[in-house]
Amino acid sequence: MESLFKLRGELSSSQSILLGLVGLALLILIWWGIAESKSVQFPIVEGDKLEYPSAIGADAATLAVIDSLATVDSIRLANATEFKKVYPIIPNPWHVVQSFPDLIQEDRLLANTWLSIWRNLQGYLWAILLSLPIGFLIGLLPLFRGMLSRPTDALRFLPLTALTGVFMLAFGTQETMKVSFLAFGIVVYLLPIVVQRINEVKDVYLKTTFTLGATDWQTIRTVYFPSVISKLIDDIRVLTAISWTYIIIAELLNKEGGIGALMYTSGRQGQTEKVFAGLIVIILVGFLQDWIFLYLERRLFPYKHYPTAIPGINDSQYGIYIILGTLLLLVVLAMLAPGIFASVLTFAYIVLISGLILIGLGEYKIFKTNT
Amino acid sequence: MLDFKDTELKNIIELRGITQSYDNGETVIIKDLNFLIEDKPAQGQFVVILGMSGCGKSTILRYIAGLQEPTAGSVLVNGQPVGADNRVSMVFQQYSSLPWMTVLDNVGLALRYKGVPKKERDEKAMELIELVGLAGHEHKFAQYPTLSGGQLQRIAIARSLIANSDILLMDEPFGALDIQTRIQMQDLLLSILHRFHSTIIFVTHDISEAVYLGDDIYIMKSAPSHFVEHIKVDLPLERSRDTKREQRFVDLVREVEDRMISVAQLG
Repeated sequence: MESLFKLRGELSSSQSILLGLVGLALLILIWWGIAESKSVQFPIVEGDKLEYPSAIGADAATLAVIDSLATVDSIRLANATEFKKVYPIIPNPWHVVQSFPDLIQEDRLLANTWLSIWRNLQGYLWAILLSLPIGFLIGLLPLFRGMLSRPTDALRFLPLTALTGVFMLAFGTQETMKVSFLAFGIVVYLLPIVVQRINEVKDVYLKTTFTLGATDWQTIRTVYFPSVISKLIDDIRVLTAISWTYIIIAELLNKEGGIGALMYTSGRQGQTEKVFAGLIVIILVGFLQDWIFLYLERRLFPYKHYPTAIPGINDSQYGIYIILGTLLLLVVLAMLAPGIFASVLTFAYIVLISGLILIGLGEYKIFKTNT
Repeated sequence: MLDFKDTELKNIIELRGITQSYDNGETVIIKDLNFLIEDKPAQGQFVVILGMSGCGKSTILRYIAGLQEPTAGSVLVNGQPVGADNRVSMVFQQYSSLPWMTVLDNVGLALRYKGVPKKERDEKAMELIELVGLAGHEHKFAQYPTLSGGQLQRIAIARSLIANSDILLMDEPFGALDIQTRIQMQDLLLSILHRFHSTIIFVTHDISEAVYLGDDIYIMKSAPSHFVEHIKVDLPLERSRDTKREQRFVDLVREVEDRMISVAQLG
């Protein structure tokens, strides 16, 4: 027990699982407590729709929010056949769980989530595609550093959400606008980080490779790339959290699909449990993303996690390169040549699946050599 | 003052009329520095540069490595101005191995830069890994604490040898090592010297290390920097820890110390 209060003390694995569960339970308990305290007994009259557990249709919910029970209009009170407990602000956790079947069947939750992930992926890959080369130019060449380092710092201060109108004028209201809004939102953060990571490359590595006879390009290839990208992968992982905020904003602009539009519409209809369900889906996708980034880091930069080179890691690496390369190509085509994109999509799926198979093969090899 | 006479021997390293100044000549750090190391083929030599901190010892090495250009004067390696064709490799005090590469890949770096195929460079790298006593570690990633400080410096030495075993520049390479490792590394260097007949230029401020390793010791003075003393170490070529107990060794250490103190007072 004492060890739990030691500064920076370590947790055993069983402790850490147990405490994790306790934390989660506490969180749900607090959520439930707030939901209950904000719930109201709402008078039900004939003709009220009782579709949703939390509210009685949009109008009733809005009423319940605006008026406390005491001021709900007297006609409704007089005609009430029964009273029902409703949760106009914070939904009951159990109702959130119950809303999933409806979300999946009626609101096409999976398709909408996939659409948001695809938009996110596009925005992300575009941001990386732009930030890396520009960042390397600024970080490595005085010419570009002189011209661009101030403007890139200025970009970070742009209130991007205020520029949504400009983005709609420039790119329309469809996918291109959403993806470029997101890409721009990430570039303003990513670009300065790329430059910073380049500045952080240890001088002694550069001196060493110079005295070993490396050309500029060889130094970039063997020192700058591995050093910068192995750190960037962590930076990008952290930025994915921000990108979810941006993609939701972009989806609200015309509400054509996506989990952001779905949550917004549900919220407007008083179905708060669907909003919370959407949040849970986003968190789960976020965890999945984190896991994928961690996997990429372990396979592309094994030195950060293992003392010794892993035999058989090459297959996994090639698989990762194939998938990343294909996705990059798809993302570029989707924006610049939608016609070609549509025609190569089937072929791209085949390539992506081959990449996955290669990764599986590599993982099997690694697993076999470890045991 | 040192004066260099023209000799029959080829000059392996030559610094002529070096001046280093900053702020458009207002601050002069090095003035009229001349330095000459003659080639001793089939023998090799250990040249030690001694001096107090900030006297410009490391700057001399940076000139030879091409990492820095003097404000005036010329730096010649094998009779040619320093450039891509006569690059000389250097071992630094800081750990310089690339952590994202294995020991094998680190040692083979210079060959990779020359475009040598992987199989061939791995073979050559393995030879040197064995020579510096790192066999069995070749597939480890070259980073602390997977490898100890001494092991990382062994990588750096092997890597430099593969690049160019004729000349080795070493900038306080054992400064961060504990005494036991330091002694092992010193003996490793001597064995390399005798095997490859290299010219090793070694910067240190440890007098006993300088006498133990060196054939020639040069003492630098600062503000403005130049060489003021040249001491020939007349100890036998084959040295061991017993050498350090010989009277001649003890006398030499004392002599070098005296001269360093007088140089310091001079400055």
